[in-house]
Amino acid sequence: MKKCLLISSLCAGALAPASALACPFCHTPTGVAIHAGIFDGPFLATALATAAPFPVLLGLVAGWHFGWLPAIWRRGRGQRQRDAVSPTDKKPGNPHEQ
Amino acid sequence: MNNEQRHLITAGTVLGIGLGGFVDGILFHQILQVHGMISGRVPKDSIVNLEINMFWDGLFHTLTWLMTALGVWLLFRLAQRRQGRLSGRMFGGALAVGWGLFQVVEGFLDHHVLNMHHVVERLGVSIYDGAFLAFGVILLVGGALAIRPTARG
Repeated sequence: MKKCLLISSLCAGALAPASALACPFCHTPTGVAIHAGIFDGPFLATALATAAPFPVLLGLVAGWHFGWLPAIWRRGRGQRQRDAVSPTDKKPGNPHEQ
Repeated sequence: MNNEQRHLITAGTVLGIGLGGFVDGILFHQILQVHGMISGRVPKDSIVNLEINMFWDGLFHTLTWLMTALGVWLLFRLAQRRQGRLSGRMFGGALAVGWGLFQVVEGFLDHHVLNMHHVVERLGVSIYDGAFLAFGVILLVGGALAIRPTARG
């Protein structure tokens, strides 16, 4: 039983490094190639391009929040004018209705 | 629209952006694997290129996580100082607006302007990129309509 466990562990150990060492910071030929592909290319340009949508999204949300941009859920001018007339003003005989 | 409603919409929208980003990352990048963050520039055709894409997927997920955390913080701050009940309909609408906004901005910038990737990379610019944008517009309009009636109250 112990012998079987030992052999199983050795087999698993022999297989593990092959997959685990394929990372950007692993000192293997694959790891070095991945590291080079990420950091030796146009790293800053790729990082900025990856992040690009987020400042735009935050800018739009801030614009709506602080009122710099018209919110898409805002009612049109006509609807706001209709809402400005309160239900009590619409009663028959009310002088404001004329 | 009162100040509390304005803050609820902002928190919901930011949270919707973060959650929408996670839908994109989890569904398209990881489960379906139809594209990676920079698969338009580095095709996922080898273990090296796959891991390069995975690195940039990680940066993308970091940013979506930060958006989600910001949304949760804004919502928590609002819950601490709220006067009345928060509208579930308005919050749901704001989540949809955030998700839709993510779809439209990310879809337009990454798929069409920067060519970082396309929805189905092996097809290049395809009908799926159009559907991605259209779904974003539907979410935006639906979310805005859900917010609008409660804004009157």
